[in-house]
Amino acid sequence: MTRTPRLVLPILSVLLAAAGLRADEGMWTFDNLPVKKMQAKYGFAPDQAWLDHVRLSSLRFPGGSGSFVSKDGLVLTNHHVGRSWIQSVSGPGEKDYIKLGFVAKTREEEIKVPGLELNTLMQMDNVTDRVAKATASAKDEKAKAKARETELEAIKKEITAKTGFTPEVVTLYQGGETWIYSYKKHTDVRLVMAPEGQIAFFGGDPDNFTYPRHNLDFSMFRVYENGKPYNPPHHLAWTRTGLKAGDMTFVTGHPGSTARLETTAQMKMTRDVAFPLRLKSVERQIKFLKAWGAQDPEKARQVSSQVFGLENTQKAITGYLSGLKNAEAMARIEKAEQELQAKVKKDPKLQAEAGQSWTKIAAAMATARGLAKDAAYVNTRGSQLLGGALNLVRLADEEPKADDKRLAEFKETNLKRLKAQLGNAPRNFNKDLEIASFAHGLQESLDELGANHPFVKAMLGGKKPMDVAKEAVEGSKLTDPAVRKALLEGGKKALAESKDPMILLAKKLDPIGRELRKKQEDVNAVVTEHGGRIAKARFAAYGKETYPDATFSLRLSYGAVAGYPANGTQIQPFTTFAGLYDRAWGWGPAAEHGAWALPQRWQDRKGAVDLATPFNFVHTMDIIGGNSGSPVVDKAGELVGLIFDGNIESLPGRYYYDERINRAVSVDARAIAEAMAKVYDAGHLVDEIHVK
Amino acid sequence: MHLRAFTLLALAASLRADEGMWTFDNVPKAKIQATYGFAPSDAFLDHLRLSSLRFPGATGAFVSADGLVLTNHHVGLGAVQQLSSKGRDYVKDGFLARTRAEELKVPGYELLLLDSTADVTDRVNAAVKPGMDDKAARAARENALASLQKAEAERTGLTCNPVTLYQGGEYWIYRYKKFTDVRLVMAPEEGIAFFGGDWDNFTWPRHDLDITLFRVYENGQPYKPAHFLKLSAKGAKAGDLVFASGNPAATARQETVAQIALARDRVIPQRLKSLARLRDALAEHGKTSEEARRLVGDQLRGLENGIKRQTGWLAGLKDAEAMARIQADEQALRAAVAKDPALKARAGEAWARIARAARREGQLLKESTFVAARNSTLLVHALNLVRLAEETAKPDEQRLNEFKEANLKATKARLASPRPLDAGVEAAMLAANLAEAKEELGAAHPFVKAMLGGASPREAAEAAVKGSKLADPAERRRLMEGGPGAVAASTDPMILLARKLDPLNRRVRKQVEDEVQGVYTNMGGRIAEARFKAYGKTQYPDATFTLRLTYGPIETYPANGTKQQPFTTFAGLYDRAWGQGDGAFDGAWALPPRWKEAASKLDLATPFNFAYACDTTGGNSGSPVVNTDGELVGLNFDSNIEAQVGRYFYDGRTKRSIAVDARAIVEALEKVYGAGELAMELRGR
Repeated sequence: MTRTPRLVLPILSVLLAAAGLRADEGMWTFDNLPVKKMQAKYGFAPDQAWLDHVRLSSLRFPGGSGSFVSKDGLVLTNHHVGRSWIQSVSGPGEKDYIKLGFVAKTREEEIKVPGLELNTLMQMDNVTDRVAKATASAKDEKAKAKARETELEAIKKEITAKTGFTPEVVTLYQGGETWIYSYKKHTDVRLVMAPEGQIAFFGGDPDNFTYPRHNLDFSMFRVYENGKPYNPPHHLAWTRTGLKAGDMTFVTGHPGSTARLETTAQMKMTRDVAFPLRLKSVERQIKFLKAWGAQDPEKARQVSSQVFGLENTQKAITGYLSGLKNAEAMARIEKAEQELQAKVKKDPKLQAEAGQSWTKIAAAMATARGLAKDAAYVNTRGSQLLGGALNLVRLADEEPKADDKRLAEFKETNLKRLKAQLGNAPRNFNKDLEIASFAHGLQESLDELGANHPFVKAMLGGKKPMDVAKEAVEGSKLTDPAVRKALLEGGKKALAESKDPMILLAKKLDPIGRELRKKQEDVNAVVTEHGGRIAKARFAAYGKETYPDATFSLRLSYGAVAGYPANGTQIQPFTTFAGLYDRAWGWGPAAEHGAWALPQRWQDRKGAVDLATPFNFVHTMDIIGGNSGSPVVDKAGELVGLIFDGNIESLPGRYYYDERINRAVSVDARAIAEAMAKVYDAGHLVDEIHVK
Repeated sequence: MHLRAFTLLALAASLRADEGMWTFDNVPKAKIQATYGFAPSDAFLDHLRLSSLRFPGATGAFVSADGLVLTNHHVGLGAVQQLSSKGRDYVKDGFLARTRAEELKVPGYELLLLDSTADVTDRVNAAVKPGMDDKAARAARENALASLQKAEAERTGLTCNPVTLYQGGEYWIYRYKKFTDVRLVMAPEEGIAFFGGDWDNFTWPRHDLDITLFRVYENGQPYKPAHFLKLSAKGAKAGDLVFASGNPAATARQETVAQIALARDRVIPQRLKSLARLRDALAEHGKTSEEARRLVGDQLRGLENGIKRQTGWLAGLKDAEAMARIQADEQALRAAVAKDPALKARAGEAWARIARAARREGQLLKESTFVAARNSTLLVHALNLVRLAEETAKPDEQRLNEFKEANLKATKARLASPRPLDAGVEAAMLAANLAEAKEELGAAHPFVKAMLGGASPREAAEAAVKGSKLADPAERRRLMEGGPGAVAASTDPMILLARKLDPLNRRVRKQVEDEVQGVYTNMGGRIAEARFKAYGKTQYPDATFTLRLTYGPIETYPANGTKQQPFTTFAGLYDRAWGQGDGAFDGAWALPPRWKEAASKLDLATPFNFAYACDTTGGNSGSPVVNTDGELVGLNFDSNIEAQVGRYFYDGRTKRSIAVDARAIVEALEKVYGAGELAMELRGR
């Protein structure tokens, strides 16, 4: 299961770059730091050794970030980054590590997490020129793309042969630069410690994306190699001095993606159509899952991660939407767009390339508005089995085609993984939930699209959603890997003969879905092509003074620990353990479904912890989803904190940046050490991280 | 007077749960019972009323058998300041009387206990004879009320005040017992009473020990009140129904949508702009020297407060959903009026007339704001001196309001006030005002030309302030007592400015009074009358700085992206102090030394402040908060930023009052102040 990172955080609109970058903004690549700006503002800029050290101490998690914090391969990340992995090694009762927390008292007790893979960025090669050379003689776009791909494959092979690293292509500045980032892959990763979910996510959904905050949102893993703890050449030393307000901090992590390069036409489509539709659907799904979970505690446990994710999405989208609805900010974005348009107009070459692009995208958005409802409600409707069935049905059609004619998920690069997935039993399958989810999805399509919509007619055939879902799920054999394998390998013939109800539904969905998808892809093609042209024009106009869009590759952000004005007053830069107890006592354990209830261990150890210990803090960092688990380091390159969220004011930052109030929220390193020592009796781990 | 019973449907749309500042004779018991399964009995209400006290501008309550009185620190602040002297700064360091003998008498301090009330509506209305026009009727009522007041005072020996409720729907005489021997018993350090300073003012979560204890004496002995509030032993918890009794000063909830819209679109934004400008000017002046910084401190705080409160109003008024509700309420009342011929004849046109007057107010706004002696104390003095002789020569009803007999004494007292004035601050403020007037009215405006005479605002202000002797109270008294001749002969530059200002200001003032205020009062009165006839006493009257009861639960509300905790604790106090640090924002969250030392002694889980859904406003400061047993659980001291718009309407989703939890008071007295005996007295042991 892939998790949506909770942390979807402030981003600078590069559209604003025309007016000059604001202080502390930017997710900078390690080769292009605004050294002068840092030096001017903070009297400090990192040197190459410093940069290499923090880069080589940083790790990429699936959907998040982390770092090495001991010479024996101990890894620090967020609890919410590790959460699905912790859950995957948990079970009921005393093995419910999400609920109870987990501490490996010895290395033997560390639990191997199957499938978890971490990556260290070992080297970065700018191959822009080499690719340009290789594609120079290509006569058309198609040939150019082919030549580019061939050259990149060749470079990757060279690197792998030379280093053994895993290379990945990273396209920066929308094609302005091409890089190969090469990773060292760690595949033996073991769970070392996790606090209770309740203290990691203290305040639950109400407090999510807010501050002041009191979350011990961390978990620890250890990387092994050849059955032994791995000794990384670099790890972050744990601070023994700690931070104070005004101190400069740095964050290294993997911001996932940003929407800053969208045109105003795209933003308006999102604001008026896409987000409102999405919100409505998410609200409905949360209601459904909560009702389902209300049947019994085990069911509640089964859907808790899903509910968590959806509520998270709901709050985030609400926040983004508030940004898009901010007339003043939108006016600024429009102005910046016009400035870039003016620059493009003045330069004949840019004008030829991108002069029409804004109009083209606007026209595509008009089409997208018309497709939005179908895009939301014509799909596999929350059924894992139907998802598998559709892929099986399509695979038989797609595989015989030439690679470039296939749907994206069936292209050679994805095919192997897809086949492996299709051949296995569905992950975490739960029949009752599958029936209920599918019925809910079908009902929603019926309500939103109407009974006469071709998709609704095809799926329901006049029957009730629940009847269709029950029949299809109960009658399907697709939970059996052998049946799946047979269909996978039997090709068109096997599928044609299959009477599996899910396969039959998938066959009905297939042509309707393809037709919609074709229309969506036409829209996307325009957006990709002309978005790219605009981005190139921007790169030509403003160059590397700015930083590239987030690409889930390693970046460095910097800023200072600072409060901000909100709620009628000045918000404190730090919270403390005293604030944790204040919040818990001020609410009581039962309020809001126990959102602020303290785990028993925290009640018992109240007298043991130093209440003045800084717990969470806010700082002016430009980060976004994917930065979850990023280490926060000080000028000395020592670990002082752990990114885990942003404040509510940071959400509109998806579209524009307001440095007055936009803040990242981190766990203070002192809180982690204090809790490990005084609450979790994990002194052995404290000793390990405190070794210089 | 023909009262008409209308359907309660309109009312249902009009009153929100827990809304209302109810008079004690008209508590909505059935509604409280329906919502909370509890209704206060008459005995409960009498006990609460007879334990409550009116402070100058605020509220307090008897909390012991020996006349101990609890109110806010910011209510008692003036008294604490008055008793302080060089070397004995009770504001900064706090005060504690270890024995009764150490309790400090506050000269001139008076507290009022509402002994009883009498509805005199019929008698007042009986004074109106058939054929009287509006003006004559108003005079007849005023006279009747005044003579009733006098007769009641003589008959009972109590302090009697006339009270007009429902904009004239009801007339009452409120009889007060007056206490004049009031002594200071205990005051905490301002640093803990006002922890978080101006920043945290009007906000939640909060951590303020905003209390002062006084004791009432009679005949040199501690007074034994017939009623006092016992401290609740168990305290309150979230969801508990609580009541607050107090003296809310003023609300504007009867204003029409047209008036509110004007306030939202023009008046408040204009005022905010002016306030910000004045604040910046004073802050700038404060940078000139350490002494200047000290001198402007108080004013800056007041300005910041004003800015924050009005920003809160504006935020509330911009809430489209809330405004739609107000609109619907107004439509419901207008529909009710339209259906009844008598009401229609009297009030049918009132909304349209007020809307026109509001447009006129908008047109006059700039002149009425800037063609005036704004914020400059010297210019105000000069203008009053210039006008005094002329006005007092006129018959009373023709005078400007501040020179009418009823107000003349106060106006003269202000002129003679010995309060020192700082020339630097005066010049800075006058210069800021003149600069703003020039910008807003234009250099060619007669007022601007008259005031500046070609000079820059700064030059004009400095010349007038430097050359004036009016900062000297003796000089003002000389001119005041010297009659028309003395002022006419004066060549004091402030007097010269005031003479130029006088006719210009009179003109715009008359326009506003005739074309705007007159219509508001007259037509507003008719709407209030219609509302009272349509809904009767199912509604509460606007605030009148008389005793009212409000009720509601201790309750969270949504803000800042999350839900707000209903209680804070001492742990939260330390969290805030540690999290901000001593040096942040001029020490707004720095703890007094005693509190730093007490961290390990206190039970940090003690509830400190709580947020509750009672409908309070200015004047409710120091209101006792009691549970359904009539026991003291808290002390009202503020409301959240979302509550500020309560001036115009009540929004139960987010409006919260803020109280000090009674448990925090005794815990602090015992553990921080070593005042165990006082704590015992509060506990009734």
